[in-house]
Amino acid sequence: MKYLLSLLLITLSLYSNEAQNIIKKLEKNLRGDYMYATMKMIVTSKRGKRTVKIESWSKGNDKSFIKILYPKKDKGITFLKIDNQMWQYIPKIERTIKIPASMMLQSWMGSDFTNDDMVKESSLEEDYRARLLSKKGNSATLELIPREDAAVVWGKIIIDVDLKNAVPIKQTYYDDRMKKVRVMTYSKIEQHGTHRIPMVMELKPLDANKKKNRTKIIFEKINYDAKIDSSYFTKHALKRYSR
Amino acid sequence: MLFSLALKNILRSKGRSIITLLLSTLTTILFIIYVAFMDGSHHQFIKSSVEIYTGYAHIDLKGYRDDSGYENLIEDADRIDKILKNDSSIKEYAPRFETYVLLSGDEKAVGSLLAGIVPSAEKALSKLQDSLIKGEYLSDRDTNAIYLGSDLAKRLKVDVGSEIAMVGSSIDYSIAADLFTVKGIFKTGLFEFDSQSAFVNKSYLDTVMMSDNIASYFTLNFHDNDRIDKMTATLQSSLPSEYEAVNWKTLLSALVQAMLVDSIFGYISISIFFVVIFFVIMIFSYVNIYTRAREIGLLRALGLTSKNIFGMLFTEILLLATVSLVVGTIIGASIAYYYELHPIVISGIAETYKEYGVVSDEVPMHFDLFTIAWNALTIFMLNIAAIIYPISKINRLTAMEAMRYV
Amino acid sequence: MYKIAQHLAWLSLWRRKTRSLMVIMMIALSLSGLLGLQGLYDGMITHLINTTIRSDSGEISLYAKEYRLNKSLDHILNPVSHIEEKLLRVKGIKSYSIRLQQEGLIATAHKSLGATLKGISLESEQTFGQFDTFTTKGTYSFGEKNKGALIGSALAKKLNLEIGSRVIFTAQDVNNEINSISFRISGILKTGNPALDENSVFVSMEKMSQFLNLKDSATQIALRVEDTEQTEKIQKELRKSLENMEVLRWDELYPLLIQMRDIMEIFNLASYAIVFIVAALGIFGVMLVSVLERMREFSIMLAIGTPYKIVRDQIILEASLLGFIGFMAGAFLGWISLIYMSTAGIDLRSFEAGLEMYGYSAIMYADIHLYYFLQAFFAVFFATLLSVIWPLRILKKIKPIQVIQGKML
Repeated sequence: MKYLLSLLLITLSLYSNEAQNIIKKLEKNLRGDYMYATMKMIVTSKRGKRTVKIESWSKGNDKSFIKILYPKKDKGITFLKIDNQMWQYIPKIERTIKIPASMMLQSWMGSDFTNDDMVKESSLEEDYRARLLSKKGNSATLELIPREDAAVVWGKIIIDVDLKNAVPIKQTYYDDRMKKVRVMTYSKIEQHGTHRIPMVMELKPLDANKKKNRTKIIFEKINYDAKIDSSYFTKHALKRYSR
Repeated sequence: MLFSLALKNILRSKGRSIITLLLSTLTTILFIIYVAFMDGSHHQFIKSSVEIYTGYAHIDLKGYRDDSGYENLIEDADRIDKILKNDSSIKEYAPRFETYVLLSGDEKAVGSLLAGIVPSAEKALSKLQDSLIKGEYLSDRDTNAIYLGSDLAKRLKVDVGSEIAMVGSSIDYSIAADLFTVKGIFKTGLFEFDSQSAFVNKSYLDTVMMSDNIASYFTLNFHDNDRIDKMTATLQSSLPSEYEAVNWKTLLSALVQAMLVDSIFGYISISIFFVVIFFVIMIFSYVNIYTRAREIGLLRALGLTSKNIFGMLFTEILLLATVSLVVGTIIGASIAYYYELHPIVISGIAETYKEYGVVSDEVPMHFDLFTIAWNALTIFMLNIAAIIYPISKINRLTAMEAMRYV
Repeated sequence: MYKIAQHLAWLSLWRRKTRSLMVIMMIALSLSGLLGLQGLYDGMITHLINTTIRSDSGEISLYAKEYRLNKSLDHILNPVSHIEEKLLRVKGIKSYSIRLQQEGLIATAHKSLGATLKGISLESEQTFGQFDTFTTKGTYSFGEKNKGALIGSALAKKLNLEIGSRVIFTAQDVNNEINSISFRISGILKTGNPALDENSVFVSMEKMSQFLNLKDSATQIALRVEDTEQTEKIQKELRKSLENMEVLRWDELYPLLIQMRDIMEIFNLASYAIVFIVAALGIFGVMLVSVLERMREFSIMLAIGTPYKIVRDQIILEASLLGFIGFMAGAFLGWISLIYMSTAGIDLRSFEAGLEMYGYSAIMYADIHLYYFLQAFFAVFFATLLSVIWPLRILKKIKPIQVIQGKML
């Protein structure tokens, strides 16, 4: 009896270990020490389609600098994220604003992402405990439950993973009552240096009165290997690199 | 003949008549003034809340009041404008565009309501212009001028002439940002309003927020605001189905309820007083009638029926009640009318009760013919009711018993 | 001899049953109404004051100077342990509560709202104001690892939260850095204090201090005193030993409450005065007629040698008996209604929205105090005295022989 129990325990821990490993691999693949990218964000809502062109520099998970290239109205707007803080510079009014707590859950640039999403885009590994739900050939489905102390609003995330490429295929976000709130899908996997990444991400809210809404991000250029100057991750950068 | 008997009786028992008259008249006056005061304070309360900013009625898209984001805006404001322009029951109307933004002076960024308004129209729709304390009110030609609440200005540490940065989102959720100069500062007395509201000329704000021909809602008032439920229903029927017309009773429903509770308590309190008056009149009538028991007995013996006696006695009270009704109503109504036009001012109550939304030092009275009428009638009926028992009792005696009454 | 007066008085009352009954009913009904309303109004104010003291200010509250004007973490009480020492040295303090709060944003997966997070100690709040009685759902606890939070009922409703729901609170700590922390709702509170129910989330003091990166600090320390009469004295003592802090009583923090209470009292006294002056009129009417009718009777009594005093006392007794019986009946009815209203309460839940806007609870309970009945007694007493003045004057002027002869009526 004891033997069976310990066998069970080992299997379970192996499972969870395996799940954690999958997530670890995933994150290692998607992130690098440095990342430079240009991308197009297309926001669809009942008012039509809006395209925003973005340039971004990031160091690990904690520091990132984003610059808006298009449309002309928003050109030069820059964002700086350091740990949990976020600042924004608006050239039209020549002001740097620190985003206060009350604005953190507002949508970022009108998309279905929130400021909070941008700031906390880390770490599935840090904030969640993974459990393997199923595994078939090259794909696996994991259930991510937030760790006790993690300051995340989700009740759970179900993630479908492409094991061969160590990329996510689909992420479904659930609220506290286990009701689906939004879905993120990934596609068009390409190789860039030592990383294989999805070039297209689409976020769709499942709210009844946001039926037409979706936000699509299409990466155009990605570079993991070039080192990025630390001057990008200072408050001076906001204004300096705005031009 | 009954009438002349009744009259004679009244004049004969001067004591009783005078007391009944005085009591009824004073009670009528008291009731009228009491209700005028109660209604007056409720009206003023509501009026302040309504007239400071909210307005008597709104037109908005169904669903806006539950979710006041950008999902439920009036997307074709011109269409609504046309409907309202041709509606003769509406006195004044204007569109408003409301959104929450970050305002910052030199230091702190503060979240606040920012509303695009039509300054000229708002003069008749809200107290924004009247509450000006520094600088100037907005005009229809202003561009980067902003009009702030006094407590908001304090929080931002700005004054007239200061520059304020605004960051928010436009209709399509893209970033809207602009710099404004403080043109004027207002103080309505409603702390919540003064600490979180800022106003800009709508036609300029529309260029920043991309809200041209778009409004959060229209605010309006009718020529006949007193019959607002009827007016609102009529207006609703002329609107396309996805829009709704709602008046302040819905918009400020918690306030309305609180007023109602206060009224109920007020009426209960004064009813206790009526209970006493009722009994006093009854006692006096009873005593008076029984004092004349032998006389009544004689009349019965002479051939008057109980119905006649009833008629005579009833006529007595009717005369007395009528006189007190007329006199009481005239005096009470005049007092209510006079003090409605020239309210008593007790300085300091506004400051003390400002948390409860009281903004003026005047003691309000409300003159309303209908209310006064039913007030007076109530006391009248009270008189009548008080007499029923004594009269019926005396009529139960036979003529003989009455004549020998001791 | 006096007994005769008593006996006669009693008999006279019942000779004219109807009249006596009318007066008794008048006094009884109006009295019970006045008592009921007084109890109810007092109950409302008491409840309001009580709620404020229990859930918020205590009898005395301590704040850092400037905090009330500008609620930033720049103005906090620190070190709290020193302040606690000083508090323990002051006699008369029953209990105290240490609170650390900050405004920020509370969020679920669907919605976010402005709210205030308050770090408290459950035991302190319990001793302080029986805080657990405010719990309407869930339990009065922060869970094993202090991961739980208690939330105001109106706020819970707006965010659609239930027991076990997860929320994130985001705010700036003492270094102006934005921090987030997650909690599970372990209980829902309904304090009756709108500021708390619509806006507050309560968590353990340890978690709060950690979150804000503070140690041994508080934004407010509230005190309860053993004997409310000593409040001012204690306040003076504290002011001396805690010089650079604000030490304020609940009525200084919320002067409106006192004003409301004063207005109710004035209203009450005025009501009693008016009602009983008019009631005196009623008693007067009956007494007057009763004296006039019995002029002959009294004259005979006087003629046969009855001392005037006895006759006078008879009248006074009659009026007093009427008043007294009326008072007993009214007090009894009033007492029953007050008992009912103070236990079962009056259910005004259909007016909940309006009432709660002003901090009144939707179910109203009445107060009962002995002085209500004493006040009523005096009112009736004076009314009866007032009412017999005139009848007694008439009595005095009686010339017995003439009355008997029929020449003076």
